[in-house]
Amino acid sequence: MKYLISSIFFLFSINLIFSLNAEIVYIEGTVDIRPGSSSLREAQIGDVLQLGDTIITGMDGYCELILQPGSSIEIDGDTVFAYQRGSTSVDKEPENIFHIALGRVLYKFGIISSDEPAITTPSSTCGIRGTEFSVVAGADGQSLYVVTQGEVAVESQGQSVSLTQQEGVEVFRDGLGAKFAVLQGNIDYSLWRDQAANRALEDPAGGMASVITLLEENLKWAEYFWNLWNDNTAAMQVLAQDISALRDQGNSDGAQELVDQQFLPLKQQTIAAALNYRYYALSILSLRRYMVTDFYISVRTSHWLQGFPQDFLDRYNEFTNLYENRVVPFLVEADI
Amino acid sequence: MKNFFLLLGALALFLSCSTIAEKAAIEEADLLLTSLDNNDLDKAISLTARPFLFEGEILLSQGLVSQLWTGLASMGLSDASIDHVSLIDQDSYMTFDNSWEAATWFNKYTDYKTLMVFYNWQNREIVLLVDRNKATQRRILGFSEVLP
Repeated sequence: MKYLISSIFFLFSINLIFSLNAEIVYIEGTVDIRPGSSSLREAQIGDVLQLGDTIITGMDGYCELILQPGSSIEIDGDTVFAYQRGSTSVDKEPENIFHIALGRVLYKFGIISSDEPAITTPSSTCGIRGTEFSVVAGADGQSLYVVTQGEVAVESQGQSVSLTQQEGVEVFRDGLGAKFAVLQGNIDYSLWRDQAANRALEDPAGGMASVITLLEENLKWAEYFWNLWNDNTAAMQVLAQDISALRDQGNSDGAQELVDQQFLPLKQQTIAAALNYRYYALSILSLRRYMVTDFYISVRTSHWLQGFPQDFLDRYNEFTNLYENRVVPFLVEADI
Repeated sequence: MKNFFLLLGALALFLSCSTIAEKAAIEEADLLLTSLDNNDLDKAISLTARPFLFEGEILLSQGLVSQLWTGLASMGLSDASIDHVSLIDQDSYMTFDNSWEAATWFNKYTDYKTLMVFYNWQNREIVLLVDRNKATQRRILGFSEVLP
């Protein structure tokens, strides 16, 4: 938490700069919204999605958002959908991200532009080149992509596959599966989610091992961007002193040159680093909140009297120790 | 002498309020346990606040709350007998989990009036956290087995 306090100013300004105009236009059943730094509340028609918001639908819930005329997002029941900003890989600039921690979301994009958000699940990333597709995130961490119209590129663990109309692919714990043809209306998403939940129950220790791998991957980048942010902040302070000294000497042209050529680019890079370490830390929080909690409840309630199986307990403890010691420093009370 | 009786009256009023609050909390906790035994998950979910603390895990979605109560339904929880009721204190989070998340959750979602209702059940101790605010519909804030 100490890490975040020092960069909170950047994050407030970032929130204002990058907000998308996605508005809730239809709600059925239980639909809650958790603004980034506030408590859970009931979502309302007319709510505009802000950076950091998470929409959580109940078992009977359904929610539709309009991004712009012709583009919409439909969120099924028992789904966790978050609007974030960060870099989906280290060589990319921060971008808008729609993250599905659990459940199913149908995207319909009328006009494709370079500003379209990246779509992610706990184990995969998808670039939009198409217009209508479903993304499902299962309780076991696996994902399913199905394209109805257009084209979508799915990436996981260094592999990628391009899907066109009426094609789908599953993303397993160890990477992408083979793409398959989809007959229109022939995918039973509820059945797929039930099967994912059953897989989670059949091998919770294996599931926890996969979550630990995801945690380690995200943590590596959270720490990398934190160090970068820290180094850049120190370098900016030195530059600010140099600029001030040049101005004091009456060399305003030299000062301006330093501002334009070094200070401002460094500032941009520093803002991106702050966004990114926070993005990766919150991705780990999401892993805990929806996947680990799911595994924990399943195992705990099915072994209430006899106690946890040792293999699950070992991995759960490994996850929580890593979380407590290396992730918590990136979090604040508002995240809870 | 007059002051003594006033003080005594105030003390009696305080104790009766405290007793009424404890009784209401027990009734709320009992209602949840009975709902689970009757497999009335809708009722159990309707009593449950979110974010809900289950041992060291925080449940944000209704689906996870439903999963928890489904897993504990029909286990005979209504056979549990009341052990005691207490107000929370600064260390109460450790009854659930000795972690930053549990401590932060307590700090954010409970107040000094929140009650802990302890039960004995099948040679174990379990605890339910109950919000005393009558205006709140969902008053069950957390659930845990009390770890030794």
